[in-house]
Order: sequence, then C-alpha cells, then structure tokens
Amino acid sequence: MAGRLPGCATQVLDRARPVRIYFQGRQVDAFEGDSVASALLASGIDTFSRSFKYHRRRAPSCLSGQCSRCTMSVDGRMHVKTCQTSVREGMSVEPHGSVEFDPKSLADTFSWALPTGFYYKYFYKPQWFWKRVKEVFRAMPGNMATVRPLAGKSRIDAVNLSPEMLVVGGGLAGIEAAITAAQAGVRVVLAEADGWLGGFDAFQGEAGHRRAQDSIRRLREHGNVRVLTSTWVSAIYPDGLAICVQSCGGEGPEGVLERVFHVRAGTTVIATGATSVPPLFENNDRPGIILPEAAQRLVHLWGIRPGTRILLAGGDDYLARVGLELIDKGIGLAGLADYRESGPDEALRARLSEHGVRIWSGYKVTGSHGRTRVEGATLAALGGSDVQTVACDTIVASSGRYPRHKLLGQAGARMAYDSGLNFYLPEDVPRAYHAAGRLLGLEDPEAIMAQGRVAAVRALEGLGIDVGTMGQEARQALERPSPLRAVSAQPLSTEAGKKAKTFVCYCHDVTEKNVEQAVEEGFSDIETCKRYTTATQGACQGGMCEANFTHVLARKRPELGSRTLPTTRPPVASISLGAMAAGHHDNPQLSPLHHVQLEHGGRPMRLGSWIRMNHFGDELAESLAVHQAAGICDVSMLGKFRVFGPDAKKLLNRVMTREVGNLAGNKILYSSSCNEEGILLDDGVVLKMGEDDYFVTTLAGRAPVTEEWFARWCREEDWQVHVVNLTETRAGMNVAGPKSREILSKLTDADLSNEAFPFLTWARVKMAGVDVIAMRMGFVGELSYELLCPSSQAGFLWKRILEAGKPLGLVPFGIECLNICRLEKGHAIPGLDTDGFTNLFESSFGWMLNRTKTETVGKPMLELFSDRPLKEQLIAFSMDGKSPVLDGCLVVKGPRQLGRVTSIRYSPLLDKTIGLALVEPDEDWREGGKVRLWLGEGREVEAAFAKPPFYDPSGGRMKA
Amino acid sequence: MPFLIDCPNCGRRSPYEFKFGGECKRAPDPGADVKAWCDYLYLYENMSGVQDEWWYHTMGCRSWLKIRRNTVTHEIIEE
Ligand code: FES
Ligand SMILES: [Zn+2]
Repeated sequence: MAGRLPGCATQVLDRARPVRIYFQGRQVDAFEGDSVASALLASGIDTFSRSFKYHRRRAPSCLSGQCSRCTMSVDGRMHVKTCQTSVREGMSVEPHGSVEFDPKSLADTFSWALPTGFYYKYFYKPQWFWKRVKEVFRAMPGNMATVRPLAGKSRIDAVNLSPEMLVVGGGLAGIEAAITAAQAGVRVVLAEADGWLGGFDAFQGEAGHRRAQDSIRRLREHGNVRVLTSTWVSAIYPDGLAICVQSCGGEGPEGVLERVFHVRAGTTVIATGATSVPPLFENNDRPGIILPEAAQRLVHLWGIRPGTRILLAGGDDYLARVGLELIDKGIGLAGLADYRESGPDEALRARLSEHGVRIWSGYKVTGSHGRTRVEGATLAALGGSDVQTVACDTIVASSGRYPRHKLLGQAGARMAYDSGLNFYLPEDVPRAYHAAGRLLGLEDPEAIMAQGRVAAVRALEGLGIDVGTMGQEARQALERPSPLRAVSAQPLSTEAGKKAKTFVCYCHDVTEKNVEQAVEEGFSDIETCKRYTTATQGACQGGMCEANFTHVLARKRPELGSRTLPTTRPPVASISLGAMAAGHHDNPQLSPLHHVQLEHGGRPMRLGSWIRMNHFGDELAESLAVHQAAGICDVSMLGKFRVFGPDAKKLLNRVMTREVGNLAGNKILYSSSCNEEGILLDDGVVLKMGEDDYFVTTLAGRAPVTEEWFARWCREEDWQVHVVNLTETRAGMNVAGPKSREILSKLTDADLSNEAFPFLTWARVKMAGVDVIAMRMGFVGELSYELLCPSSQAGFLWKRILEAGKPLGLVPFGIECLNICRLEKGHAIPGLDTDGFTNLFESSFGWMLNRTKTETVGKPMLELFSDRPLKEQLIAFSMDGKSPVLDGCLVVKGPRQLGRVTSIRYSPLLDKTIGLALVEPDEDWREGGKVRLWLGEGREVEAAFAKPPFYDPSGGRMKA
Repeated sequence: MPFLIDCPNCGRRSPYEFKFGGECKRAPDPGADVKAWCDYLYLYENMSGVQDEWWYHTMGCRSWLKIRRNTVTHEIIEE
C-alpha cells in the first residue's frame, strides 16, 4: 500500500510542501494537507489501536471521524482522531499502549469468559475478591491512555455567534442552502467537519470535484457566510444552542487547540449526509476492511492506494462504481461480491467485466482471514452451498446506507425506517430545523442542490423573511423527478454457535452473538439491550454500529415489527473536557483591601465567590496576638444593604427572626433569618439609621442571595421599600483585642470608652479623617470594633490603623485565626456549621426566634417543630493538645454514624483542639460525654463533649 | 432549555441566566394552620400545561419576573 498515486486535481495535498511527523519516534514523511491517519497509512502502518475488550488490531475504517478506530495520542493529547487531524511539522504521534505486541490480546482467546453483561454478572461477589482485583481489571481495556498535562502552551477559545441561519454540513446541499440564505441577505454560519468543503462530492473523482468547486466558487461570492471548516457540530440543544468545535491544531502564538463556537441561530439547516454501514461477517474488524467512502477518500483526496488486491463486497451499485474508479487509478481488484441475486447494474457489470473483474452475484462475504491485516476472504452463495476463498489485501465493503441523523435527533426529529429504501427518513422535524441532501436519501447532485435551496427557503420563511421569487424557483427545481436511492439490506444468516467474532459495535467489542444472547436473556428492547450490551455507547456514539445493531435486533425479534433507533443524545462525537470548559471565566471578587493585605504578607485563598486572606504567615501567632494585644481582619465580604422606605420595617420583620420594631438609638440588633421551612439561612445585624431607614449586614459572600431573598418577600406586596446592595461600596475591617480601643483612639477624637460606646452599639465616627460606621461586636471574643468605610478609602484606613497599632502589638489576621477565635467562643456559622436541613432550633440560634411576631418567614413551621424532638443538633467538643482531625470528619458510635465535624481548630491559647459537630441527638451529649471521631480504617479518637464557650464564658472581655 | 425568557429590563435571554422560582402561589397567612403551610410548602400542582411561575434574573437585572409558560411545549404565553 506504500507510496502515492500521481497528483491530480481532486487531491488536497500540497506536494511542494513536505511535512515530517514522528510516529513512535520514527520519522514519517507527509505533505501539507495530509491528515495524521493518511500520512501513517501512506507509510504502510496497518494497526492504529487495540480494541477495548479483546485487544484486537484495529485500523481506520471511515477516515471521516466516525468510527474512532484511528485514535492515538497526538502531541500529548490523547484520544485524538488522527483522520481528523492535519499534520504539522514535528508532530509526535503515539498509539495508546503497545499496538504491535499486546499481551492482553489473550483476552480474545478467553472471550468465552466475558459473556454479555459480564460486569453485571461477575463484578459483585465474592466482595473480597473484587476489592483486590478491581485495579487489575481497570487496567485491562485497550486503547486507553494516561492523562498527562500538556507540555506546551495551549488554549481552547470560546466564541458566541448568533446568525440567522446555521448550516451543518458543507456538501452540495449545505452550500446551496447557505448561498440561498446569503442571497436573502441574512448572516449564515456554515460548519463542515472536514478541512475542506464539498462533502461527498469532494471525493467523487473529477466530476464530483468539478461540481463541488463550482458550488464553492459561488459560495465565496457572498460575504455574509462565515465558513467554519474542521468543525464538528457536536450537539444541538432544544433551546437552539449548537456547540461547534473547530480543531485549530495549536495555531497562533497562544497555541489555540480548539475553538468552541456557541451558535444560537434563528434557524438551522442540517445537511450532514449519509454514510455506508459496515458489513457483518466473521472478523469484520480486521485492518484492511474499510468502507467505500474511505477507499474513495484515500484515492481521491490523498492519492493513497487502499491496497493492491481489493475485494469489493455489498449489495449496492455504489460499490461497482467505486471499483471502476479504483481500476481507473490502476489499482488491482480481487473481484466484486454482490449479495443481490441480480448483481450490479447491467452497464456497470459490463464495464467491470471488460477489465476482467470477477463478479460473484448472490454471494456474501462470510469471513476474513489474515494475521495482522486482511489476507483473504470467504464467500458463500446465498442460495446454495458453494463456498469460495478469495485472496485479497483489502476488503471495501458496505451493507447499506445510513443517514447521519444524530443532530436531527437531538433537535427532536424521529427517524422512521423505510423498508423499501432500507433507509431511515426523518419525521416530525421541529419547526426551526430543516433537513437536506443525502441525509434524506437523495442521490442525484441536481436534486441534492435543489433540496438544499428548498430547505433554506423554508427556513427563511419560518423566520418571516421575504424570499421573493427564490422560493418558487427552488420548489420548481425540486419537482423534477429524482427518486431516492434504494439500497438492499444485507441478508443476515444466524451466526450463533460459530467461534469467530462478528462485530456489531467496534468501540466496545460487542459481537452479533452478544446481542443475540442479550435478547435471549430478555433485553430485547433497544434501549435496554443497548445498555446491557453497551453497544452504540462507545466513542463513535453509534455512528458505526447503530444500523447493524437495530438490524440484528430486528432479525432476532421480528415480532416487534418496527425498527426504532435508540435515543440520540449529545455529543455526536467525543468532545474534550477543555472544549466544555471553554468560555467559562472565573471572576472571583476581590476585596478593596486585597492588595494592601498582599503587601502585608497575606496568603490569599478562594472562599466562595471571594478571595480572602487565609493567614499572614502564622495563624496561631495571629490568634494569640488578638487575645493579648490586637489584630485587624478584612471583613469586606459581608453583605451590606440599605433597606428604606415606609414599609422597610414590614420587610425586615418578615425576613428576620427577631423584632425590628423595637430597635432604637444606636443599639445593634443581632438577628438570623430562615426560609419557609424554618431552615437557618443567615445571620447578621440590623442598625436603625433613621426613620424607616435601616442598615443590614449578612454573612460573608451571601449578598447576592440576600438580595434575591429580600426581593422575593416583597414581590407580591405593594410595599414601598427599597433594598440597595452596598456590599461592594463599603469595606469592612474588624479591629479586635484588648488594645484595640487604645489603638483606634489615636486616630479619632470620638469617645470610644465603654461608657460612651458600649458593647452592641454603633456610632458614626471619623477615623483618620475617614467617615466610618463603627460597631462594637464580639465575634472573636475580645473587645472589638467593626469598621465600615467607603471602599475607596479602605486601603488608607487599613494602613493608618496598622501604623498606629504596631507599637502596641497589632497584627493583621486572616480567616484561619478568625475561625480559631470564634470556635473558642463556640460561635457557629450558618451554612458552614449547619446545612440545608438544619432548622433554627437545631442550629443553636433558636433563642433568636421572636415568639410573638407572627409574620416571620418560617415561623409557622418552627412552631410545629418547637414541641418535637430535634432531628439533629450542633454540639461542641474538645481534645487536649493538637489533633489530626479535620473538618468533615465523621462522628460515630459503634457502627453508627451520628453526624460530622463541621469546624475544628487547634487553639494555642487553650492548648486544646476544639470543634463543632452536627449530629443526631444522643444520650452522650451531656457533661462528661464522649464524642468519637472516625479517622478511617477503623481508627477512632475520642473527644470530650463540652458546653461552649471555651473561653471567657461570662463575656467580660468583649464587653470590657 | 428550549425557550427564551423576555425580561422587561434585559431583553430575550437564555433561561440559564435565571433562577426558577417555582409555581406562583401565595403563601398562606402566617397564622394559618400547619396543614395549610405544609400544603403550600410540599404540594405542587406539577402542571402539565399552562402555569404561572416565578423566575429571578440572577445574571441580569436581579428582579423577579412572573411568566406564564406551557410546561409541555415550553411556549411562553404573553399576556
Ligand atoms: S478513521 Fe478516523 S474516525 Fe474512522
Ligand atoms: Zn433582567
């Protein structure tokens, strides 16, 4: 097979530009325009991969991205379809595993041990056995690669497009549809999987090439068509979103590997074409057995001989025509086996005979032979008992035609089997979608083009666009008779009892016998049979096997009468995780104090939507500083809202568990909020700034949810209340520690003494010249001031406070230290120490429910719970010294799991590890009780149940 | 999702920008009995047909919209 045919116009090669690629380190010469697969085939490589279950040799059979048998690692990316990848200088190509010598191919011999659904039948008992050997089994499948990070720079881009029309498929029908829409003046996107336009006609010899070039030339006259080649439309979602993935081969300085087009078109024309169905015979997977389209592609596009002695087999005149093309290129034929009694068309038969080609009419290939590649085939007469053996190095075979219907199916169309045509035709195509071309079983190029125009006209009319006289012209052209092409179905003889394998699904090595067995075991419905056998579920997504799978099923269960195809779901072809992730940009929020904290050695970490400082080098030292001197912490991520208007109080009383009406003067109201089921959502404070004017804070990171929640509770009322989200306009910092008063006093004239500014009050003060709302709160258990100031001045204020505090031992602290200090006080954080099932009473916040206020959201359900036993509760525990226990550790009692640790930290001040756990009620939750924490592998540690706070129980320090 | 939502503030948008807020139904009076509350919280019409429902434009103007939609055909019915 090595060597190339002379150059000709149909080829996509540029022979003046040689390209070198490396296959397993060995240099392979190719030309610009080659695909990796064509280059490897031209250099004589036969085996591309090993099969999934039996490790059989596999090689490209479609050369159009459908069979997935050509996948290899290319430049470190695994599972790349080499037939869809253009060669690039220096490219390195590696098969997955060793394909030439594969000891696992022993599985082929022991296939009796792997019956249909063997993983359901075997993989559960005895348990100890499978626990031990599961790793071995996981390593068994063939054509698997190891994920490795890419060495080079690369990226995957995402682009959003919203044309009036999307055309899928750049063959004659698609091009014609695009031209028609372009003439009507709308914007069109045309996506073609191959690297060139022309579709089927691109590889139909000179005549086809001319037709295609003519269409392409007319298409190029229109500036409003965006042509995307090398682009697979991998999914169409019902809201009209089409995912188109273009392979870019690492173009440009950034090395763009793929570009994902998210196309939302007004209307879509699907012209994805049809393809030959692989034949069913023994060992039909051997390298050298290819589809007729693949043979044509090799010859016409890349000038490669598929073989030197080719056997054609099928029941379709198409094969005879391909045979004549091969003869034309000087390629030797072993003959043509046609399973129709009548054989090929008279004229074709005469021309073949002229060239001395042997024709077996009424014969079917029943098996292939050979070691690494096809060396011969067995033919059997369908009517009689004659059996012959034919020597050949390639079998070009097809057992019918099959529409590439997946996208139509995803759009919502149904495919109905037409037994006269032996073809599936779409029914119930949804409104915004139109099918065209060979997908509809058309054969005549004129008819295909006319149909493309009609599809476009219908699509445009569907959009309400005036198409003028175009509509009529298109319809008239279509009225000329152009029959759909009928293809006879391959006669199936039962293969049961035979030793050799006849593959239905190549991706997962599912044989005809496997399917029959599944039906016998009762899995006769196509959906259950598909899941049980895993046929059609491999990398080709049914592209190669669906037709045969339904065919075999229909023969086995003729009483079902009809043939339905399994449901089609996205994606059509395998899609990279990178392509899925492309276009999602992570935009974490930065506090106005972010940069100034980095300057002071802050270690950032992602927490929810914000980036916060985890610590500034030593969280333990920070916590000691807070208790002994002072610390400052960024709390800008607290939700901050102004709620005002005549009905502000009504809203707040509805969403808050405590009564807001009594709030007066400069008191701070600490409250929580629940959902309608009484589940704790949030906690925060309310300040009354003026008449009907309140300031509300919520948990860090919860601002967007709070906004929605507040709006939700006014949406059905005609209240006059405004909720303004001030979260980003106000920075927050918490200055805490016994020295905090002394430090802040240096920056303000305001009286910060306990008498003038007591615990749980707030004041407007000028601090270092900045307008600040200061609140005396006790989250960390020491005297502390929470300062809210305009975001733009926060950095300045932060620096001034640090300057003033340094001589007194003030340090910046992060959330780790915050966690240590709040655990010392036993403070729980809603959503962290509680979850979506924890109600107010279970969360230790129960005291905040105002029993007399009726309008509180969640109150009716809480009333119901109030006299029932708790289902879970939040408890505290402690252990001496440092403990290895981490957040999330299970709390157990014997074999029972009682709950989990929600927060746990080591407190250097107490020299204890302290934590909170959300657990079922238990008699051990009392003074002296034990809390058992599970470390895994049967190891447990014991902690002592405790009643918080662990530190300063009277609260004297924070109220000082 | 097979439909688009007409937001009065933002225009026609993909439903992925929104948060589904459930069927439109009024909460019982706070003082209503437990049964009324449980019905409200846990029993849904689960309509196969036209229903009024709430959507919140999370990735847009952040307002709650009331939408009448056919849950079978996903057709949005303009009032
Ligand atoms: S040969 Fe590449 S997918 Fe079939
Ligand atoms: Zn909006």
